[in-house]
Amino acid sequence: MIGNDIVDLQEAALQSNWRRQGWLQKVCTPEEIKRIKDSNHPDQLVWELWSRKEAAYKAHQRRFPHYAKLNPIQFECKENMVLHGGYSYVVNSSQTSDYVYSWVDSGADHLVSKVTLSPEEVKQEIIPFFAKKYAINEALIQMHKDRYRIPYVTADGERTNDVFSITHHGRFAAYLIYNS
Amino acid sequence: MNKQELLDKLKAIIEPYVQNEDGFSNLTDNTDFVKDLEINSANLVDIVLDIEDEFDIEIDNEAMEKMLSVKTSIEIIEEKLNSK
Repeated sequence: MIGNDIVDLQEAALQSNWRRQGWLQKVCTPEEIKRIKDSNHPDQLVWELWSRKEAAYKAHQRRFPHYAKLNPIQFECKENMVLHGGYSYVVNSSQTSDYVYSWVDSGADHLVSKVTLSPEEVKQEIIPFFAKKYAINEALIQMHKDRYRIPYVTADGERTNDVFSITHHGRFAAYLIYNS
Repeated sequence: MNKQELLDKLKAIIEPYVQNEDGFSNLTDNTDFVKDLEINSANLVDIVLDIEDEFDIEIDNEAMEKMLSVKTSIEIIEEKLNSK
């Protein structure tokens, strides 16, 4: 199961004030809050934890499709994993001074995109990928989201089994395709 | 407080975070914060905090899970106000 999430750190600083009274308590476990308070780079750490929870949330939702929930505190970041509902997800994170990017490592072969600059560029790479896989014209590949907001593609009008995850925030977007 | 007053207060709370103005001007009970208003997910937490402040209620984690649309937000606000 896969999921990914990207945070544009500049955009996040404009949109959110995580230091706001009560914000951390709704998002992070006491142990995570302690790590943030002890950190020399708390802004980076807060958004890293957030993106790890989001990535794991998306992977979990693919496993157990459900309508969206706002429950970041139920995802516990522990070492290289995120724990939720008795399950554990191995999550990788990479960061620069501009962004934090997290993705679930499903242990299988998956295609991890570079962090591209726009959602359009994401589409411009995903569509040719599936067109090639199904050996059909790119015009016959369409991207959709189902009622749980999980993305899927149709090849010539028919939904495929492909599992992939897309994320976009501010200046950055990325995709992750499960290579089956 | 009647439902219209409640809805007006909720709209005022949501407004600063809305990134889809069309969605906001066409707001109904069924409006979804992420899908229709394109509110950034980190700001969903801010909305919950703003609601707690505005209505002087406490929204526990279980209730917070559902705070993703106008309809469920109103239900939860009413529930918490009634149990005060």
